[in-house]
Amino acid sequence: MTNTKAQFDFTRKSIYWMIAGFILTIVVVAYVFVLAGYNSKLTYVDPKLRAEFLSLRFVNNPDCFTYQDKETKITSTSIIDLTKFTQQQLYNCYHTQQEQGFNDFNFKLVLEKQKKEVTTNNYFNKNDFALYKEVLVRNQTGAIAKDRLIIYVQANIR
Amino acid sequence: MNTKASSVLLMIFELLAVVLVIYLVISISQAYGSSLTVQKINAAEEMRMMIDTLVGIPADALVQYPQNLSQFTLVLTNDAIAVYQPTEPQNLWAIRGFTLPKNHVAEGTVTNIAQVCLEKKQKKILLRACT
Repeated sequence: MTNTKAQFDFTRKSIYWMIAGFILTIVVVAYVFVLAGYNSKLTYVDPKLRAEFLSLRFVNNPDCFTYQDKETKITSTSIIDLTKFTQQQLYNCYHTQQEQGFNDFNFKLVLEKQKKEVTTNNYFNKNDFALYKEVLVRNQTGAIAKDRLIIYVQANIR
Repeated sequence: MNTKASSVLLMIFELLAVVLVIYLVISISQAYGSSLTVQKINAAEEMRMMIDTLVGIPADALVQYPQNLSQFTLVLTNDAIAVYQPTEPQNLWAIRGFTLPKNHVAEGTVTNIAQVCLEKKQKKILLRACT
């Protein structure tokens, strides 16, 4: 009789531990996911913030589109040199890796009144958001006109 | 006798299971919850944004990173910034890539330096200890 009770106890506990083991595994895995999610929240950076910093170069850096006086070398920020507003110049200014670059920021830059646009090498018309910058445009003759630079941002393609 | 033996065995198994679960939870928490991991990732991300900002200004500039980075090594190259603890394997490094305009250069390494600066001189971005 005692032997039967012991066997019953052993079997009952084995079943209990099988179920408990399964539930504990699920709890530990869920815990890992919660912590991983919390970690990504702590390190999250808004893509708009990064795009804003990245796009500064388009209107402030003479190696991108910004006008720079050839003699004095003075850079006039927010003045776009129309002669520089080319695909090649954009490639020199910003480009992404040819194979995996679609996972990085890509841009389409449009000069609204001039109706000119250039795109980065992995831009596939997926606009996640846009940034707007009031600029002046200097053409070949030296004339300056007001315009708006629209920067369409493709944050990534997944 | 048989009953006693099996109940002792079960008790040992239960204790082992509880210890294993506690160990797992603590080690996972330590791995994910370590403030150093978060600090490392944030430092790499913020350094990248500082570099993007420096590229986006026409003049020379000097920026000091506003946190203590004495527990890390930072390596800046032309296409990435890596932040890691000196004893850490490479797969745990926080590496953030960026693109510099043509003819721009970025370089520098600092190890266990509390105050780290990024300096832009013409077309060169230098990572160095603040003086």
